[in-house]
Amino acid sequence: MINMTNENGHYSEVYQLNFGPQHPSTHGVLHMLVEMDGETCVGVDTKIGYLHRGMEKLLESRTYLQGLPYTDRLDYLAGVNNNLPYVLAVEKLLGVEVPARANLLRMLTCEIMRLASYMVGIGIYIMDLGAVSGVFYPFQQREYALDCMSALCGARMTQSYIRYGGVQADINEEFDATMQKLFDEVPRFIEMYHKLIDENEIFLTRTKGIGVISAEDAMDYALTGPNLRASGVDYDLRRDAPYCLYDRFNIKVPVLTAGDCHARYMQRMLECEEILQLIKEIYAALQAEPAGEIMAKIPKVLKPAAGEAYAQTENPKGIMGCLVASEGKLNPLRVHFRRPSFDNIAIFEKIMPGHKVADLVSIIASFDIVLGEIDG
Amino acid sequence: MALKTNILFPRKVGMPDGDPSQIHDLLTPEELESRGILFTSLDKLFRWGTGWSLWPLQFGLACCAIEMICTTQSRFDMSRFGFEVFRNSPRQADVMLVAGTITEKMRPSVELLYHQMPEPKWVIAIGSCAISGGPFVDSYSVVAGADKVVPVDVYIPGCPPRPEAIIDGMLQLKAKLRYPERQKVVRDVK
Amino acid sequence: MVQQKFSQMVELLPDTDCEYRVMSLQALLPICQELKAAGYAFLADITAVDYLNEGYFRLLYQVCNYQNGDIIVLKVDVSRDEPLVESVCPVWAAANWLEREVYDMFGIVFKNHPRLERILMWEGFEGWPLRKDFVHQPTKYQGRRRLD
Repeated sequence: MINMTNENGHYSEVYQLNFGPQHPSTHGVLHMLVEMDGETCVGVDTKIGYLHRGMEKLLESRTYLQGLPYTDRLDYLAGVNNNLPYVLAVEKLLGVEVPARANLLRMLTCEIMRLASYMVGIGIYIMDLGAVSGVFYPFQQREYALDCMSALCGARMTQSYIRYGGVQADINEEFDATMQKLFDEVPRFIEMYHKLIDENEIFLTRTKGIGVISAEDAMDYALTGPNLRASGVDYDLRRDAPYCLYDRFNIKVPVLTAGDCHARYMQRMLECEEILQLIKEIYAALQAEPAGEIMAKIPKVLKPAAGEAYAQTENPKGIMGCLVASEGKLNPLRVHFRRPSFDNIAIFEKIMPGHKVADLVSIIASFDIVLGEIDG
Repeated sequence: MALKTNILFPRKVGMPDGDPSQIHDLLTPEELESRGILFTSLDKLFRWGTGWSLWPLQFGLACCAIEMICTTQSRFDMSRFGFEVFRNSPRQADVMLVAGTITEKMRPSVELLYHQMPEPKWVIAIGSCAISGGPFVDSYSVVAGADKVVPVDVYIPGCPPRPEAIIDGMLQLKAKLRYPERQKVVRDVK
Repeated sequence: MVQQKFSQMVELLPDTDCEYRVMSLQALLPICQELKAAGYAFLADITAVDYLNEGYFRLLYQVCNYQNGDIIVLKVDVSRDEPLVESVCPVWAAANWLEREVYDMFGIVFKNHPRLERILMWEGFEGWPLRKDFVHQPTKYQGRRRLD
């Protein structure tokens, strides 16, 4: 549909630009129908669902144990973090008390994978802005984090490490060595990236003042995670509504107020430091904890009581929620995931008009979206 | 008529003990190679060249795409084998890596991308979703395998496969290119 | 707060401190407006559960407070025969996509929704996938138009 506009005394036409679903900077298969007036975007229609695998329907036909590995495939950059809300919701129905050591291991792995996920977010952002070499260093750090998980449970990406009632495996010597490597390497990387990227002229031009989200809009559109905190809303579930044993630890949450793409990048960089600090604290607590059970006593065949349970956790992309409705049978009646990326990108239609095409790439990348999570 | 040098027919010229009956006896390709001459058909030359410079289409669908990116990063470094030039346009690519679940909604796009690639072209299915639908095979919106949509040359199992497995799959494709007469996988097991 | 203000229309579910059953569909929107005014600015989730045997959908609204991390769950039952609910988009902008997802998956219609279309499934898909009586009919794929 082409129509002519004649504003500001010059002649232009509005046309539609298909952005995706196969595009290098849509992080997968996001599809955006952009209405353009010359180089300027005047309207956006975000189309999703190109990776909709019907996971919620599939989980209804699987037993609880069979269903657990599916959750890893939601936000595949941080598999363990997705296990947690589902497991917590089922445990609410089961009424299981998890041993302290298992809780510490859950938190430790979640924080390690959170770090790994942020590394991808930072690296891909730099790459989408044109600096291809910017992706190499974060991915190298991510490998150190994945090494830890690999040593702990044998899987790299989709671990399914958190189980009902506890975790799969206890720490071992190889894990200690990989953790040491992580502690050695990541601070150097963060320092280097602050020097390399933060004040980079091109980076500042591409990100400062682009895609500004006010705190009111962020709350209205239910943004969560780093994207919310970059807009000046101080909300982190780990501190405000603690689950597992997060209330034992002093969690410092950096908050920025600018709300633009640069703030969202800086938010992740600053949070990386805090995550690393938190990993160190949890790791120290884990070693002080006497060796013991990592699994609660749960029945071999899970039949949670009838009812509905909802659990929320703070994931790398935002707040992930899981609803499990049970009828007391072998498989759940209904499983629903609140997928943070899905709620985060609803704001695109509001903030994108007025920007150039190149800025759209910057905005999409700054949200650190994962399509597996958006489409579910 | 005295040919001073002729390395193709050395026994004809200046060979004191040469038998006149073996005047047309050529050197073997190995002997030629030792003298710096490569004897080949144009087809083989192309296959050799293509095998070392496959340009994959950057086309991430799901989880396996992350491992695909990992494979190109510094630790695993797919560029050692000449596969690192990921193209964003299908017009410039000759191997399609189907990395992830193909859904019914995505199916026309996958097919279109395949048709947009110039011949010759190959397809690698990465991960169990692209092989058979994997854990999502009985879903209402999932295509059970990439070979329902495009012809697949190499299957790499895993959910997702490790980067080593992806490199191995690429090398299998290379072997398939260079030795099309081979019927099954030949591995050098030392 | 909810209990005091809307004692006629809501009922605190037993064994919980934050889960309310909304008795009538008309009460949903006023309760949501009241919650928003009371600081519950974060609509975390809208979803539905299909109770086929009982003959209703149960809609669940998870509403959170950014200040103290409180969560309130509103549950409202909608008849399967006439799935029609008032949209809460005027209260929270986040409801837009969440309600579209519920509509896409369950076919529950939200009144006064600005744009009630399918979001995850493609246009022209028939049926509501997450209903319990949904039967998957594999679509006949005719192939893409040839590129000439």
